Amino acid sequence: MSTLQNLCTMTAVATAFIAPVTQGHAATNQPRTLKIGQPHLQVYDFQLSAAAATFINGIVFDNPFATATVAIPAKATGLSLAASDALGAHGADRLASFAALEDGWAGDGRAMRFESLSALNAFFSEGPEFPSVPSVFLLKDGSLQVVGESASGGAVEIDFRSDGIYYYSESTDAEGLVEPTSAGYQRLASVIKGQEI
Amino acid sequence: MADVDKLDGAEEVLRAILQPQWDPALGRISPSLFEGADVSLSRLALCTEDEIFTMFFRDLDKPDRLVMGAGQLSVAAIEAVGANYQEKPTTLWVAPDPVSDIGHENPAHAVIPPKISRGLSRKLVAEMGQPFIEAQKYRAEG
Repeated sequence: MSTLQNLCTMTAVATAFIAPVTQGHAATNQPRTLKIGQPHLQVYDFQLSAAAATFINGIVFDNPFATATVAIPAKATGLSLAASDALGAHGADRLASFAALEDGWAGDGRAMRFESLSALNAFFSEGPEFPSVPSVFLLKDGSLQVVGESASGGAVEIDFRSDGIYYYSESTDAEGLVEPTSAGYQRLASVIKGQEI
Repeated sequence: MADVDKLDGAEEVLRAILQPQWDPALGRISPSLFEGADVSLSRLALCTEDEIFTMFFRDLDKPDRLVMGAGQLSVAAIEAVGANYQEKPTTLWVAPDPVSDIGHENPAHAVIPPKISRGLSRKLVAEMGQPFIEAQKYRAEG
């Protein structure tokens, strides 16, 4: 199976979001390890055809028909580089295990919603700075939940729900719902800093 | 008559914790562990911890998602968390709910009937005694 076929298969299975990393490498059709401390990521260089560019939804290329390099999680979880950085290998492992669960994993527990994963990826792409590595959990409705600490020390909960992003800050005892937009993610970053929003 | 279906406050109960709900490496439990209505518990007055874990493994384990452990708290503590919840004082109680389905018998099964909000669930998680009971202890013995 070619690298591209392999990539497409994993993408189709996971319906995943693939993070573009760099461009300009020669097409090798062989994966290589990403050398920035991400043991769960492999980098693929390949030449995109028009059909492939159509097939792989979610990738934004400056030039979709040129050689491109993408990094994908080895377990095809769809975790972005930024999210993988923030959650670490342990968090990536947990997320991979969630992605394998089907409806009924806990009574009426729903399978992981990949829209929730996309929102989590977008959130971490805004660069929120948890003072320590946060934990990731799967909720019964299929949403992902990130729990960590704020800069002021209290717990912070963030649920990537279908109706928006729920947050709770223990230090300010504030909770609410924000839109999955850059402005919303910035508000969440303020919560993590221990600020009132 | 309603009191007949409420457990005594002195009883101790276990709440099963599944792998997606517990991050033992980082020492965190999902604050959503008790969210929802009819939350399942198991009564230590009727079965031993060992017996309860055997039922957890039989009824809750799935190939890709195992029972990771359990948290323990008293019925009185559950009631107190509800009554003292400042945002919205809530009457919580625990009702016996033995299961007699063939192959899934669980005489120790009980439930918290009222719907539990995230805020209440967070308080109940905080109320569970630590350290949490690790399922591996019973898997190894089994």
